Amino acid sequence: MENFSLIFALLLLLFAFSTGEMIERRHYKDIRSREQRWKRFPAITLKRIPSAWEVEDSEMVYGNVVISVDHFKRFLAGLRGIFGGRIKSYESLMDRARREALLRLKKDAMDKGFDAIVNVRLETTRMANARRNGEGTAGLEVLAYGTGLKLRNKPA
Amino acid sequence: MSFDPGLPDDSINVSRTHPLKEAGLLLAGMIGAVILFVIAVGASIDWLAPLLPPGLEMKLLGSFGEPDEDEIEPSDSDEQRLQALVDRLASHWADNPYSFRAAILGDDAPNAFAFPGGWIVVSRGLLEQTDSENELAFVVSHEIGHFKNRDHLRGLGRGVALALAMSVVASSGAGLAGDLAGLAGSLASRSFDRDQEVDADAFGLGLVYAEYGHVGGATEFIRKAPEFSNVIGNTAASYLSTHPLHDDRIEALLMLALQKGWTKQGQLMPFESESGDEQDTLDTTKAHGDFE
Repeated sequence: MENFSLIFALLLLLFAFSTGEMIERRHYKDIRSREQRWKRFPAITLKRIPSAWEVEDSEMVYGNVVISVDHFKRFLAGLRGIFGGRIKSYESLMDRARREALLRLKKDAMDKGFDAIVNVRLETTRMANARRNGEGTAGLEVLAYGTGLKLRNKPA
Repeated sequence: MSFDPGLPDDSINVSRTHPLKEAGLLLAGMIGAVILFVIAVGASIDWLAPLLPPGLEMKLLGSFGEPDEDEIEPSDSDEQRLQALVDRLASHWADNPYSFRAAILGDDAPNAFAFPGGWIVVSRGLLEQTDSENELAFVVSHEIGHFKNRDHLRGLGRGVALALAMSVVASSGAGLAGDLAGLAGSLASRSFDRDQEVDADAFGLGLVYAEYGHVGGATEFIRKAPEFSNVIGNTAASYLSTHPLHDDRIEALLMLALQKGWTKQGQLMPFESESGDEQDTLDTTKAHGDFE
């Protein structure tokens, strides 16, 4: 009986691994294609507006994403909790979330008719687990924000 | 200033180790560490256990080993008979430093335990599945043998070591890792059990012979219920319950009886259970259960 539950747990882990891998692969594919498509839209971290730009309008713009940790990634991270070292399984998760948030930031700015974003900043938040008194991580949120600018003269 | 856009570099922020490879390495490392830990602690306990005087053990661990009140059955005539049987058998152990206390566990699964402080605990299921007092006497004598060899302390030490290792793994939140560690740890712990069981069998058989003048019935219990081969063990581990240990053990017992010239022929005594029919004596050849 105990062996049965062990096998079941193992199967669940493999299932989570395959779904997690599939979702991640698709997400990366999507991220890369949008990065390529929107790469001419400037989203820069400078605080000051480049002197050549003549600003007509400005507004704060956001891009926000929440990504869940899958069972397998959490399992790997748990093992890392014993031995230490880089939590490699979360690295790709963070990477995806940051890039997705930046893409949504650009989308927000484009939809609002802006020509560029300056002072781009990133914030990360751990989404606490609703169970177990908030211990453990349900997922993570990355917020990208900046100042959208409408310009009289488009940047070169 | 001209705007020259680039694309994020995929290879910088994400490690390229395959997740399954990482999981395999970490799991193997963790299981190896747990096994090493349990073996190391088990070996030290084997060395330390005989150094604790039984009198001090009774004082220190008497209440620790006492079974939980809601798990054992309230004292009744069965328990008194069991206590009497324990006392009779223990009287054949010449320099017995323990005063044994018997208790009946309210559990249908046949099981028997030796707990620190002189506790001999037998499950209700075992009482019902033994067909004669002689079978029960062998189980009880086997447990007394564990006290003689201080196995109950070793088992306790290994149990603590295993629980410690498990709690470290479990605190990581990787549930499956904890299960695997538990399995590996109990397998490692089990490697200590085998010799202990054979030694306890040998001592127990001697007590049975001293009490009844023959060893009839002694091997019956493990023979007729191979799946209970770990019943007379002192661990709660149910892993490897199909391990063919019982054949080796029966053979070792028969060899011992042959060497010592202990006869297997003799009258079997009934152990009257309240739930069973009363019967004066049992035929050695009869194998059906009277207390079903």
